[in-house]
Amino acid sequence: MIKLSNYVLYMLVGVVWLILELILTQYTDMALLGIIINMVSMIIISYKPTYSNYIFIINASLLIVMGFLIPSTFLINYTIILIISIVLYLLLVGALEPYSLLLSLLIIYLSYIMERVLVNSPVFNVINPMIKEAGINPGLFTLIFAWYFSLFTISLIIVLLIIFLIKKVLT
Amino acid sequence: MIRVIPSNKLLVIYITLSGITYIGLLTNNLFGTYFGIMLFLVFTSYVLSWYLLAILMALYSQLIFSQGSAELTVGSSATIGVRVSSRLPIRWDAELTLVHSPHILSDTLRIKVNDGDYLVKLVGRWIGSTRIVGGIMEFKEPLGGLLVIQRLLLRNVDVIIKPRQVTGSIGKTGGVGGYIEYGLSLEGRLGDLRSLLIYDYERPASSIHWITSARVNELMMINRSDYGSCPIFIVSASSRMLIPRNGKRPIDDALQMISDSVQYCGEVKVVLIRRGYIEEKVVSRGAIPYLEREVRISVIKNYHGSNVSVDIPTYFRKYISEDDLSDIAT
Repeated sequence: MIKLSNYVLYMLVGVVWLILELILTQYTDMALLGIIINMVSMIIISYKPTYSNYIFIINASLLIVMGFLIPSTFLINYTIILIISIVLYLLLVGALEPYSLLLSLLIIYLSYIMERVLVNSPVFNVINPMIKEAGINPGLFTLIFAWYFSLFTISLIIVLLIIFLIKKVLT
Repeated sequence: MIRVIPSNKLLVIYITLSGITYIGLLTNNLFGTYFGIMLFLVFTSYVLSWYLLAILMALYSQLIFSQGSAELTVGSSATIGVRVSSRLPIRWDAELTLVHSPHILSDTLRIKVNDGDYLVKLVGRWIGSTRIVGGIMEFKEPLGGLLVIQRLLLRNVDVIIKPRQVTGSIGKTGGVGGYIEYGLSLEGRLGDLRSLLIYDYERPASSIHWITSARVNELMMINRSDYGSCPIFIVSASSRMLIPRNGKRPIDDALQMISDSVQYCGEVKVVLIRRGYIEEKVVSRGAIPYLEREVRISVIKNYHGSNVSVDIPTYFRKYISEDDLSDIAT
């Protein structure tokens, strides 16, 4: 795998975020603040590349806060770009292990299939009115619950598999 | 033989992720919910995959040494090749700490699993015959050490730490338990009286025996054996000899002195004494490390585990056989 320096990597992710913030200027005034902080960060990184991780966290947090203020039209794209940029940066910096990330894509795909099955199940027709009464958006609740549950099931299977393997190999 | 150590950071990250999700849910904000749940998915599946891969790597790994035994002199160092290979064909960074008695010192090694041989430097600290019983391999999650997986890999390597070879005159090593070196070395320097001979003018004048010369009216000299008689060593075989003071054990001084004499004598008699126990042994140079081992193991067995320390995390202690444990204990 090509090993890029932290400086180059931060600059790449900084440019992507700058474009995101430029798009966001039409939705929220905070984007301007984000642009200024991003520019200042890039200048700091040019002099002190060792601070890249801290500056990365500051800028990422700012983008997350901005995300709460934007309308739903641009939302899915924004979220996906943000997640991908964070994960890619961490992967290239060496904070994430590539094989595990590949395996995790498989796990996400499996939980996606399970989530689709769960969402269409009639259980939610019973629960949803109760959720609505509690003042929580039932659509969002279904989404969270289905994803959590499917991932939980997969985790359980993996943990059981690990326990089984440990027992089998070490005894 | 496998140990998983989760970090508190894992909890903090999960609280943050669920915090974002629940803020989104409670304020009916789509971004918070989507972003929180996506991060949660990516993060959980990543940690889970890493956990699974690391466990598989650890379970199917074995430790391989380049040689079955190693020999070194006390105070000096030797290198030994070590390799960890796993059935999972992935190269992973790991840390390896060898498990052995404090007779030798070795550093924690940064290795790659399924990579070539790595050289470990072993430094001989105390004289003796000991054993490397294996190593603890440690995988650390690269995103801030969220999970640490340790695996004890067993593989024996015998290590013999020999006493120093002294080239100069003997008797420089100091005393043993209050007995200084003179009693030992005086006879050794002069040699035993063998006979009286007519003086040979090539021999030093100090060998002339003046009284006899005066009596027979001819220069007579003393013929001595080359090295003199070999001393008998009386060595205490009690636990006191094995307790290090300032990093040195009294038994090492004794063994070094025995070794110095053996250089001249070939073999020496050693009497081991302890309360209710006396044993006489004939020791040659090569047998000195084994003598230490015999004393150590008999002392450790007498103590029945109390006051005996083993340099290995408590968690893994139960997985090492009784025999190996007594080998690496002090």
